[in-house]
Amino acid sequence: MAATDLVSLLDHAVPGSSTPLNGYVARPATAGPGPASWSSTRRSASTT
Amino acid sequence: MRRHADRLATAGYLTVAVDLFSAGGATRCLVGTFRALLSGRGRAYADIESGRQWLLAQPDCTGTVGTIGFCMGGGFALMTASSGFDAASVNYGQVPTDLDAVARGACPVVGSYGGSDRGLNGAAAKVEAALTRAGVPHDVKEYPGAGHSFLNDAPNGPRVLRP
Repeated sequence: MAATDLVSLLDHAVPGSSTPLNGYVARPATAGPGPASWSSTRRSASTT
Repeated sequence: MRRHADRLATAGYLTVAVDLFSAGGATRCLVGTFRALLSGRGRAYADIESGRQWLLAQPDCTGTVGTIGFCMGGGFALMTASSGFDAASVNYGQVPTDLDAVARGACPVVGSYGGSDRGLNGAAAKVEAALTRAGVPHDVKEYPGAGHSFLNDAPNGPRVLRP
């Protein structure tokens, strides 16, 4: 079961974002396969 | 959208569903957000980047961030695949006019389209071809008999967009 919450994303908002800016967060209760299983596909933001 | 987020969290992913209509006024925001999708610029793109930044700042984030979207969100997932994400999941997303430009520099893409989704006829083949030309790792499939929004687990939204 995921732990969920409604949050404001403004603390990390980039210029031009909506105000307010809301998000629905779902956190895994336990570690699953998650991102570790596709880490080999990782790209650097600097390449974009 | 919340159920999609819950499902991803159950699979082990820290997930945030950015409310692209945060500014209020559903009709006005919907029009503006669709306009942003088609034009490739606008507040929605800043909102998505803010969501990515928010995730990266979380102590339980691994530093690897993917983007996933459905319908209009699928279009945004494709449009932002070259904007710092590590993987993109595009589900029955609109195909941009400048698809080759969008594909250049994109992260690996998983694309899923419905063979009976009349509004996106041939979209999977176009996306697949553009990603191939750009040398982007991808897995794009068109599922025979599947309609629009086939990943929804309940009939919601406008009837015309239901699977």
